[in-house]
Amino acid sequence: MSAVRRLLCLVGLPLLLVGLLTPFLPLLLWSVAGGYRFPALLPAQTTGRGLRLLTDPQTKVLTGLENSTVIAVSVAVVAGLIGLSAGRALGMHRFRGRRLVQFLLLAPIIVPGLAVTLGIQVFFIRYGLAGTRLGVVLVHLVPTIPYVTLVMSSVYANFDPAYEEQARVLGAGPVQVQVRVTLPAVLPGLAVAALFAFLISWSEYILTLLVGGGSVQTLPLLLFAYVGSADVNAAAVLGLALVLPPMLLLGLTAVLLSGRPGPAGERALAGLGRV
Amino acid sequence: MATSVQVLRLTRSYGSAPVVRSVDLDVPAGALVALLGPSGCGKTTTLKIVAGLLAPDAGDVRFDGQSVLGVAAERRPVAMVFQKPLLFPHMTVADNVGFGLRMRRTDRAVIRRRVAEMLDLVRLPGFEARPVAELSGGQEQRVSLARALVVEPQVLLLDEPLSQLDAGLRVEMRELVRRVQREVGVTTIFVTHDQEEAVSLADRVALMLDGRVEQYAAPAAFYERPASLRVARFFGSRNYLPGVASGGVFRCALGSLTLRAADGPGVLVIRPEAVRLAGAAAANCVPAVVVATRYLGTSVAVEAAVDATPVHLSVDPSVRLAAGERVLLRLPPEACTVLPPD
Repeated sequence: MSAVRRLLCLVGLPLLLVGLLTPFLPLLLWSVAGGYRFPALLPAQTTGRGLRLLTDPQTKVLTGLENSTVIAVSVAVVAGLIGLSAGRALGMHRFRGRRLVQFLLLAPIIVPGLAVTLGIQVFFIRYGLAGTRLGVVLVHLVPTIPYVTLVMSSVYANFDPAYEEQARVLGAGPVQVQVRVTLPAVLPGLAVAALFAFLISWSEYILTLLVGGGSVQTLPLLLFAYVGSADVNAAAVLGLALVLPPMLLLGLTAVLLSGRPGPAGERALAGLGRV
Repeated sequence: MATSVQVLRLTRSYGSAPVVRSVDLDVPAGALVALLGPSGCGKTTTLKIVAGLLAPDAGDVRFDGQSVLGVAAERRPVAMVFQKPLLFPHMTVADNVGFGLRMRRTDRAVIRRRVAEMLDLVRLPGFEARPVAELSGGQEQRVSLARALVVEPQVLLLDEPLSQLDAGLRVEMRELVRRVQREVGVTTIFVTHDQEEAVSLADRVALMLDGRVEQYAAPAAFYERPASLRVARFFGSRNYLPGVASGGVFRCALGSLTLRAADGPGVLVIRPEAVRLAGAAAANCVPAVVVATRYLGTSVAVEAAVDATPVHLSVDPSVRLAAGERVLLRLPPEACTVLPPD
């Protein structure tokens, strides 16, 4: 068993890293390539044009970064709060119509987002939400809430409600019970779920385009525009700008969660594994 | 200082299934009362109603004569220890023990001192900084007990706190609970399904069967004067002799025995330890034949037969009996209880 494990560590891990990181290599090369033609292994010249584009106000990359960040963080927070209570209801209570609620919550994942959005876009226009950040945040909640609720309901299903009774008989009021006992217990799961919501929102394209109507420019929208215009430098630089923040966030979350002592850390990993 | 607890005609159902049926219980101030019964008899439900975690359908709970039904669990002068230690995993031992005081916004220095006192009381001095994950099962339950006592509850509720510990540790913890309860003097209700635990720990025992208190008395009464056949069976009586009593004489398969009993049909119950071997014929003596003996170390369990009726008795290991031997059994009238048939 330990020999197999050692082999996995020696061979499997490097293979996995190579497989994950290789696709970024061309991206890195293209982002600095001045001239790059077929038989050459490396670009003939390098250029700083791609990097300059990032900070050039004309390209709107900074605006896109700001929009993407504000929207994705808002989506993570709102979906996290909704998923926290919906997940608690589904995970800890057996009530009439529970299966129906579960199905309705999953429906947005089953039905293509495009179909849903084409339908509700009309209402977004009527209520003046089309073309606003708020509108984009709202439409991003459609595919994110199901995931967050799903994760949180399995986290709550593993939470023993006796802890809340124990806290109450020690003198903790309803708010104190939630803040001091329950929330710390489900926090690792919530962090993972909110991270999911952030990632879904961060890379969303179609829904942003339909509701944002081109006036809310996020990073994926800019990226598609540059890919379409065959500006390879810009597309490569934007691609990296799109990929780096979520990777940093993922790494940070992993470090924070695995650093937690005792069963809390294990529960977080269990939460990740069940997704 | 200590508070008395009265439970009056308490009733509670889950859906259509009644779990607690008109339970009455009077716990004197400072006493340790065991609520004994098999699983599903309603003892934990009763305890949770006293704690305020469940509301009763009917009946009342009074502390020192004052109803507490309108008081939320967190405001009752009660602390409870559950079957599982339920230590908050994200806190150290000290933070766990101090939890109740922090909820009451007690001064930090006072909390630190009280936590140290409580850890001394449960014999875990210096454990403040330990993470909860490093404790053994017995240590966890002791921390849990300290955490309940630190808030100086007027009523302490224990819901089978020792049932998940192994046998040796359980006896040790029983002593600890008894000592701590004596030192603190807090009125305590202890739920258990273990009759030995109830009898050795409690001042009074309430035996609950099917949602009712079947008998509420000092421990010895359950052996010497069971209130019903169900109580006698729960406490492991083995001799049941149906018969009819009239004028101080009970006629049954063993013949006519002289004892006090109300006239009418009944079942005679006598514990194996109370049946004696007699030297010469006297009142309430019956000739019998030894069928089998089993050596149990501190006693010998003997099965004898009077004609075809088995009588179980327990004798001192120094007494040597062999199967087929003729003996004379004496049933002392004071050890015999005649109960109504059920």
